Amino acid sequence: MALPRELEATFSPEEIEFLAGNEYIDIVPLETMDQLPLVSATIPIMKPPKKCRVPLWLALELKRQHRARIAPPEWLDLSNLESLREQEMEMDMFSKLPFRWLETAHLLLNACPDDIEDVEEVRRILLTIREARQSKARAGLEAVNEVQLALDNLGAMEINEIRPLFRETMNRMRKIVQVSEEE
Amino acid sequence: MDWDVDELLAEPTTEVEQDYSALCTQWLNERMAPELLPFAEDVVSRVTERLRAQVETLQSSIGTANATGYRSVLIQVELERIKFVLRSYLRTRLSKIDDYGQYIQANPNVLLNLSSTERQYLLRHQQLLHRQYMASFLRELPIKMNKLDDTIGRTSMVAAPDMENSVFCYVNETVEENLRVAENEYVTLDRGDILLLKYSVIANYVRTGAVSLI
Repeated sequence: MALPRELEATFSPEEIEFLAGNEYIDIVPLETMDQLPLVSATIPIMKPPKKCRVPLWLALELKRQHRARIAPPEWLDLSNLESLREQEMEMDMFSKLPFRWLETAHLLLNACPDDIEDVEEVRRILLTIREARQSKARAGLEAVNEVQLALDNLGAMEINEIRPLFRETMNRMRKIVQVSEEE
Repeated sequence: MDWDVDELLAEPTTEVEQDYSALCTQWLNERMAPELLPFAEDVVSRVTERLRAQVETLQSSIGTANATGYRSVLIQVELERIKFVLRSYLRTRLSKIDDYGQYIQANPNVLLNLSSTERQYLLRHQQLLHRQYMASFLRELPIKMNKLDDTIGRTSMVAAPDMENSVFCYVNETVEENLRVAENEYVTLDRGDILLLKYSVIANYVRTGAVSLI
């Protein structure tokens, strides 16, 4: 109908990626660019080599046109990711990654691998972290009851993945409890 | 390793940034909430106004040197992005109005959540539907049985949104009192928490902005 059926219960991965595009990131302009008045922000004058803070979608567009280089966010750095991986392996809980880490990392690794140091190693570590978190999320299904579940530090894309299953499970448990209470 | 969650979320500072951020939040909330939330009249009208102004600026620059330059491209990309959010927001609301039309008409306080255009749409849509049902088969039924809002028996014919549906939510501001989720179970809402809860528990907090749906 007005909203496609598959979008009624959850977001599409593309929409989550779209939302990641709204986050701000630093770029290094390669040429001088005048002020750009946009509907959602006014991008100030950009003069190399001064860093400038712009929305990610704009950064990706400028990178594509070879007018800027992207400065990877602080958390996307090798030593940081290595310690995160250690944490992820040791703890049962999810380690503290930025909310949109998966989609942001995905966009950056595709668009500007040349701006990221040790990009191959970064890719490998991110994959490990992702798999560890995925298995934790799956294990978390056991913890679902009919009233509440805490999932601190889970990423947006990860939540979107588990959303249909977890929601449906919780709804059904709620109905079962409801019926049993009525009797 | 001590970045600040707030810094990463990059709190918007100017009014235009705040409006866009608010529009996206409203869009997310509307998508995930089972009920129809109040229409974000101010935000939508301000953003639409700026969209219009931007489109005019673009059109007046056609024919000048700037027309195909990279700046035009960037402006157009952004226009498409904002239009996407607006469209999806309006479509989500329309979808809910379609599904729960009768329920909304029967509850005046829910009717308040619609914009005037949406109210007109609702009225007309329900009229058309009713006329169609009557013409197809309702006329054939005995008078006592051809009502569409029958409440005889345990279930009402009118579809109401399921307020007990579970939603994922993110806590923006710590909430003072503990929330009752079941007979003896309470949950605390601390800033930065991500929880899976029944919508009815946090419905009010979504409206105030203390909690947003993800």
